[in-house]
Amino acid sequence: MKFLKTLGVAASAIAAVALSALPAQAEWPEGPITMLIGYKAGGGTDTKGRVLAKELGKELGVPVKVLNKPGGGQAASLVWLKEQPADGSVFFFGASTGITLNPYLKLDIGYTKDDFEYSALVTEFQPAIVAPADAPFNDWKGYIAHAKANPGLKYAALSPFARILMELIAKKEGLQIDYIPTKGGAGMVQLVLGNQVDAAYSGGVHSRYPGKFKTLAAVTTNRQTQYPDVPSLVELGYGLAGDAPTVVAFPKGTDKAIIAKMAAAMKVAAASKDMANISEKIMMPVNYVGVEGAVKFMNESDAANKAMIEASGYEAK
Amino acid sequence: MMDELIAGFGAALTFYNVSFIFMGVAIGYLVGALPGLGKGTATAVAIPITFYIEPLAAIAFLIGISKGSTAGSAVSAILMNTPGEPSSAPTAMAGYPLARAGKAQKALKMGLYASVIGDFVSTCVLILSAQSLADYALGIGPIELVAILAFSLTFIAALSGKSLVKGLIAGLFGILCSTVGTEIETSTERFTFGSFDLYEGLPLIPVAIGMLALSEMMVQIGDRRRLEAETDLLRGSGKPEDAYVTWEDWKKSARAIIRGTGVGIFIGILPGLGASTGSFLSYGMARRAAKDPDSFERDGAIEGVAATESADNAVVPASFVPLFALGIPGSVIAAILIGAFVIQGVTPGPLMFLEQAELMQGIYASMLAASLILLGIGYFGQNVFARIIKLSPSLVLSSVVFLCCLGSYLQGGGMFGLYVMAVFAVIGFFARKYDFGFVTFLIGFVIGDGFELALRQSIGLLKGTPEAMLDHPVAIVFWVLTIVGVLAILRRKKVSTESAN
Repeated sequence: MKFLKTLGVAASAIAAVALSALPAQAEWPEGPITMLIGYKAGGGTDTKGRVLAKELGKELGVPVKVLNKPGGGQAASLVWLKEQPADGSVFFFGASTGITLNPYLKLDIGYTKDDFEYSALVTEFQPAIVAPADAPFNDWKGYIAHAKANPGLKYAALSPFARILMELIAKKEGLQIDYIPTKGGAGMVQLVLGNQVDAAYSGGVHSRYPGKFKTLAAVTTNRQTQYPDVPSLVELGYGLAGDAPTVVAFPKGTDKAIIAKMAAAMKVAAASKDMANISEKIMMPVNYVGVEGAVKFMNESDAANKAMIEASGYEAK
Repeated sequence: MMDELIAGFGAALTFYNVSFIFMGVAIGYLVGALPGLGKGTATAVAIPITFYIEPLAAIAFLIGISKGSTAGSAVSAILMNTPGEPSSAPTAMAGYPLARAGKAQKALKMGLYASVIGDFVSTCVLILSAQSLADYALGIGPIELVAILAFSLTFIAALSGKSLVKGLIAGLFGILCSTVGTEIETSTERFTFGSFDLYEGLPLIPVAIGMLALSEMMVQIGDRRRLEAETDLLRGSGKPEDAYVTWEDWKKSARAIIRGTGVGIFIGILPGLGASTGSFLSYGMARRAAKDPDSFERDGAIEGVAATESADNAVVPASFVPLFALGIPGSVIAAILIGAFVIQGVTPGPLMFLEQAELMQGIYASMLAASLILLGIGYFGQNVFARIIKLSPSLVLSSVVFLCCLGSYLQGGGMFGLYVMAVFAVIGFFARKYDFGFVTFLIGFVIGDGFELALRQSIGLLKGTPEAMLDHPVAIVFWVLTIVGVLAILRRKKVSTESAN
């Protein structure tokens, strides 16, 4: 009897283990997942990512860890992501241009937009061309006129794209611009507030300094809600835009169910109070777009950037 | 202003807040004192914890960690010759010989007092004049920065050890290593050999750990028999005057502390120079002011410890000047704090004082409180660490090697950090054996990046016309001082070769 009893206990234990294992296998995520960020800790994307990771963790019921892999304008992180297992254990959060623009600026970068699956777009950047508050011009027309009259105006470029953008404009307008390299938004702010340059490309950080900057032109396709009177470069007839929402990407071949579940969780996390609070503070509006919209955007953005770089005559290195 | 600060004290000095400041300083001091781990690791790991506590307590906690670890890094520098952070490397140069002469307690105490003084004065400067100093810092553009860096290098050259030529070789090798990564203007890769891990350059922390801590461990492990004999001496000479900071020591160090605090504040408020520049410069100045500079590394020098630690700690609060007034991070720790501030719903920058006046006064009050808490924790903490040293060297050495690996892994992007650490440990080992100043290597490596950027910006800003320099009087003054400094080095060199002959 005793033997039978033991057997019964053992059998029910095995059954219990088997039962509990079943849903765990079907249900992603089983354990902690990793949010990959292609910039150093402390920047705008990192800050937003960390708040988002906290909210996502609540929604998914597992911890979401943040891993920073800086380098090459997010290229280092994306090359790494491509090699990760497609099991949903790691996903990328960052500006879409890392995927849709980098491959056209640099040869042999090691990935294209087809190496990843897209789950959602979360927030928008508000890049613009800006000038110091006491610049002798007030708008884009004034800047171009001033630049024509004074060859050798200085322009701070914090990335290769920032430089290419102005080179294309200068070519079209016949301007002679001197380019001053700088590192990140903080370096740009320093040069502009210190009146070292006449204009600069800003990824959006300028809106945190009311009264210190003049916003000359929006680098997004459409005008930005915060600056309704500032035209975009597209409107001004240059056909240039650097729309860069933050995208959530997985390695190619990740299960569709995982991608959909992440999109749903991201929708809730993006709408959280903390996220709204931060977006307002760092002026990166939340604009959630689901799986279909994200895939469509990535395809269109990739094609548009390809055309823009080809038209510019820029030679990838 | 005063009323607000007093109100801020009321808000800050609740039991809840003070316990977080206390924890922050204690954790920071412990982490700083452990070789291999530093404030970067500590704050990055602590940030997720701060999600769950109130904003004022969270920020005070992080500031406590950064203050504690900056002071704590002197402990391992003095006791084991393994600086907890690169900025404490000169502390090891002047402090470890003291420890080997049985004066470890004295050196540790002076390091702590100098740290607290530098930190406290710098915090007061931050509170009283953040806005006006920030405006002044903005006037220091790339052209001025190049001149200031060149001027600093003339003092730092004194750290090159016995041979100036060997020191220069090491320094230039450091600059070469700093050029690894994506070039700033055209995004061309330099010395990356196709490895994406190297795109952002060689990571500072693993390089510093390998060069400063692990290579020293290799030397000590090779010398274990001698080390075991010396462990007795590290416990203290038994003479009471060697365990305390005497009146004589204060007289020797007062100038060094005042100078160090000033240098630390000056370097701190200029974004992009960093704590290491401040402490190296302060040490170099103290060395030059001494009658027998070479005795600093030979016999140890209490004023060398005081100069380094006061400057190292004065940099931290001063680097919050551009952060609070302009929203520009002046140091690694300030950059990490920006993230923490934003997560707490506060945007660093001029608006902070208008929108969150109460919180800001609370932060100021917490910073002052942290200075005092640091004094207490440091005083008692040192006794604990001094006891660890009494353990068998084989236990201590293996623990340190483990911690080095941990720190490199956390701050160097995983296994890649360990490989970098291992390579630079070997380079550091031979640098020590053949007396190539590994400290000058580190200076070249730390300063190289910012120097290159500022130089290239300057060339663009001056448009290749040297007469445009006339619009930059500050830069001209520093260039003249640089030339005077170089001439002084050459003359000294000549005198010492002649006297040697």
